Amino acid sequence: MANSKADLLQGTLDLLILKALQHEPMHGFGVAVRIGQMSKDMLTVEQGSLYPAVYRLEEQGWIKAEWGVSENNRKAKFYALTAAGRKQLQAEEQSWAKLSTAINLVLGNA
Amino acid sequence: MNPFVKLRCRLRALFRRGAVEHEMREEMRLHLELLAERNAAAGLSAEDARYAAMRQFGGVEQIKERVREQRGLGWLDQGRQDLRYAVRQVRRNPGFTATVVLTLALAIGANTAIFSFFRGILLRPLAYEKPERVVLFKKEVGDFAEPMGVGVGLLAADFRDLQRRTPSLADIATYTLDAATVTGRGTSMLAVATITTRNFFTLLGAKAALGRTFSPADEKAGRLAVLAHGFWQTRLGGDPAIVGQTITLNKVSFTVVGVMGAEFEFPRETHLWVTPAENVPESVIGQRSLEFGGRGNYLRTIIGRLAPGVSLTQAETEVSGVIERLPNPNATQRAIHLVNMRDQSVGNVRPALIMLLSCVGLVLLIAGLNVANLMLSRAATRQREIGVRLALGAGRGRIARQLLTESVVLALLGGAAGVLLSGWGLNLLVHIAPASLPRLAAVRVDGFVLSFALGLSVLTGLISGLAPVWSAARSDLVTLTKSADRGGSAAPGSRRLRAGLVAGEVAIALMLLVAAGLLLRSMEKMRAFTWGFDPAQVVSARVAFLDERYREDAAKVGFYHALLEKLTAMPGFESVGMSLDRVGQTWIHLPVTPEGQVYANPADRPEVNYRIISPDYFRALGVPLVQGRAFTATDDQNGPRVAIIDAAMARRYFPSGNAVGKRVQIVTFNGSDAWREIVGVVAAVKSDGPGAEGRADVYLPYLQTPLNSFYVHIRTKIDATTAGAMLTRALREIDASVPIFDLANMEEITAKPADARRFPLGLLGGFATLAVGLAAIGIYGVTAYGVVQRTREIGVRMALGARPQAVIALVLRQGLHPLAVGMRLGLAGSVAVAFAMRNLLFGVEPLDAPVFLAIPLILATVTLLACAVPAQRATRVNPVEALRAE
Repeated sequence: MANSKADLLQGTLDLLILKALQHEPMHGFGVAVRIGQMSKDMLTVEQGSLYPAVYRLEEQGWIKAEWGVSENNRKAKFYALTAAGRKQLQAEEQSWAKLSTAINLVLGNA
Repeated sequence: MNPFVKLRCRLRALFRRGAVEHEMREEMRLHLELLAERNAAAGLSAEDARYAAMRQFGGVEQIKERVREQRGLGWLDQGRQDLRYAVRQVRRNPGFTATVVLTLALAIGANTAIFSFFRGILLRPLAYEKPERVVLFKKEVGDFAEPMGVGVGLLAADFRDLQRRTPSLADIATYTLDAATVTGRGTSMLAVATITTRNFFTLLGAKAALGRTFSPADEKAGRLAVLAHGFWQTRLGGDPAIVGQTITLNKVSFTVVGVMGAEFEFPRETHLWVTPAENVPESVIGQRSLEFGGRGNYLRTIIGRLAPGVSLTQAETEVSGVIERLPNPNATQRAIHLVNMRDQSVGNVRPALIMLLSCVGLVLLIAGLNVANLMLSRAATRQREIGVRLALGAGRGRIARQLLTESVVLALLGGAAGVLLSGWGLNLLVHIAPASLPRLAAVRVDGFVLSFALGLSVLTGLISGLAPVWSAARSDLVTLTKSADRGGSAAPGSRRLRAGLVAGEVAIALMLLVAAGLLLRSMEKMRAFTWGFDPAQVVSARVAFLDERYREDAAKVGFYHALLEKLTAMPGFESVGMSLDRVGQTWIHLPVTPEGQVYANPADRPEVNYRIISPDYFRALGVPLVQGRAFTATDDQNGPRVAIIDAAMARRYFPSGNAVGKRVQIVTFNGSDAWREIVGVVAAVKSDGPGAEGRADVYLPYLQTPLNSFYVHIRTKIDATTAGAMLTRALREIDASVPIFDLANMEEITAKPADARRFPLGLLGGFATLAVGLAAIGIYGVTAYGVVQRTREIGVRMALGARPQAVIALVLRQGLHPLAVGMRLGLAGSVAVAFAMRNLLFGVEPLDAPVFLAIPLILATVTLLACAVPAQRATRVNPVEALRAE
């Protein structure tokens, strides 16, 4: 679940997926592309990690899937945040902020 | 998170597998396409764009599998897969499957049948409330020879004292059984009546099926009766209008208030329950109560219900304390024990049934071992498959689970077949079981028994499946794949395991055979048991003249004389004797003091069978007179008190042979404890039957102790039915209202104890045979498999010039080793079994030499034969073919 540019911390992939879906529903490919864009290509998500994570989030009830039509006019499975997902995103963002502040403090970068 | 969402997702994944898989496939295909489009937009050719996309995406199938795994319920999914594989295996190897299923069907069927039997008799609840809280008063704890707890030696007044002074018993009731002539509805018949206190049914918590039972509130209700279901059906036509009518017992009328359900049979063989006007029952209906120091008549049986929270021991202590302080003139008084009613109702069959249940369990164990063995052999041929699967990354846990699933599926098939067999077996059991077994009607296969069979099957499957799993888990990959390639011999570990299993089978089979052998010898001994009299050509029946007219002794004596005279004159009746009770079922046991003996403690006095007889009794039964004389017609109320003792007692207390002329002191019914002169000594009769402690007999003349019931014994060549008809005719001429009952041939009665043993013996014999068969199959399987595995080795040996004898020896050695180990273990186990079943034996020591010599020999022969067949086959191995077959 990592790439050569920056290793993803365990559990952060969930946060990234939820964040990518914050504004609009997307299919799996879209999520991967969005994460790449948002990180200015610092992070790329491997499909091998993406889909298990997406299915996991769906099981948790944080995102839900619906069939729609993709930009190339194909049937595609779109994922959207649920209310619970939004709450979860908020919580994870906060705890991430805390964690990164703390780590920066330890490293003396603050 | 929401657990329901999760559950829904997982259930959907499980049950709508196709849809979920399809969605996943679609989703990933779209992803690939979009990737390819992007690559194309970056300037790659369509072809290259697609390949690049596939490289970027990675292994589609691996991703899918990861999703599937994570989705959980994987175990269920895998279980389904395992089940599919198992069913495939089962269908692909019909021979193997048939062997395993048949073996298990026999064992599980036998177990289910015996368990149903056991449950019906021992475990099914009695037809009243909390039977484990109902207790019976007994003289001795192990006193199962007296099923009705006859004669605790208490009197009516004592009962009232007990009722008042024992708070540890919530309630106590008393009852006594006697035969009574029932008249009413134009018929006259003899019935067994339980005469009881009015709280009898409320104490037991039993409800009537029709009408009502007695209630303690019936104080002013007079004499009441409740009918047993069977009696109501067969004798009174099942007419519901009987409730409220009156019936007459010995000319005393009772109002019928209810009919019990068919399942209520306590005490057994009772036709009706009656309660007299006064709350403590007369000993015999319509008979004058026998006064004992003003404390009323003898009570027979007392039952009580423990107060909440009181233990049996606490109650027993309290009751004993109360009884010790009773102003009871009855010298037989002694410590009273309380026995749980449930134990009591099945007490004497329990050890035999428990033994049968353990034996049939052992048969199942053998079958399980056999199946484990078969599975092991097959697992060995599948080593390569398992090796390959392990090499491809299958977890050992996963393989274990699959092997276990297979064995459980096989066991379930066996179990299903077994249940079918058991239904049939149970019918057979009930059919051949002696009618004396209690609660036989309650035996049937029900849901509980079926779940038992199911549990048993699963358990057997798991346990027998463990051996191959264990051996698969221990072996390492390299040897597995290699050895499979060579088609050579199995891993030594698995071979040892198989030999161990066979040794276990042999040991168990030996134990079962020894148990069966010991029972067989017991039965032989019991058949050869000599009672001390000549039962051939003796017909006997009970006559009870219970009518009011026979209240006075003179009337009883008159009836006795009239009957004796008539019968003696009958053609074909060689001699006619009477006695109060019958050999093998003596009723009255009382202490005596032989002259010259002094007992500081009255409880130390020897207890004897108190037998009231007519002068010709000894002649009719063929009991030799050793010394002195038999009774005569002059030994009556006017004559001096006399007694006759048996040779055993004479030897013990009058060793110098001078018993005649000495005296014994014996307390009789009418309260006298006079000394009686010994006028004769007769040969000892084993009146208590085989297996009992064997009390001595003291005989008293009927004319000095008249009672209104006795057995008539007729020595005659005429058969029992005809003799019975002649007896009835003679009775009718004296008093048409007196019926006879309990008509039997004395030979049948003396054969009864041996017959009762035939049933468990037959079953155990069947189990032992089954066990030996299974063990033989097991040994055969192991040696035959050994031969197959070593075909190549044998071929090489033969090619190098080994003689057939050497080959046979080679094969036999493989079979003989587990046999020898099993024999040794089995002998040790047999000694334990023999001692454990000691009280089921009769006349045979647990370590009976013939049994312990013959049985191992038989087993060794059978198992050797089982080894010999494959050994013989090994000599026919063609070296060239054996080597080429590789």
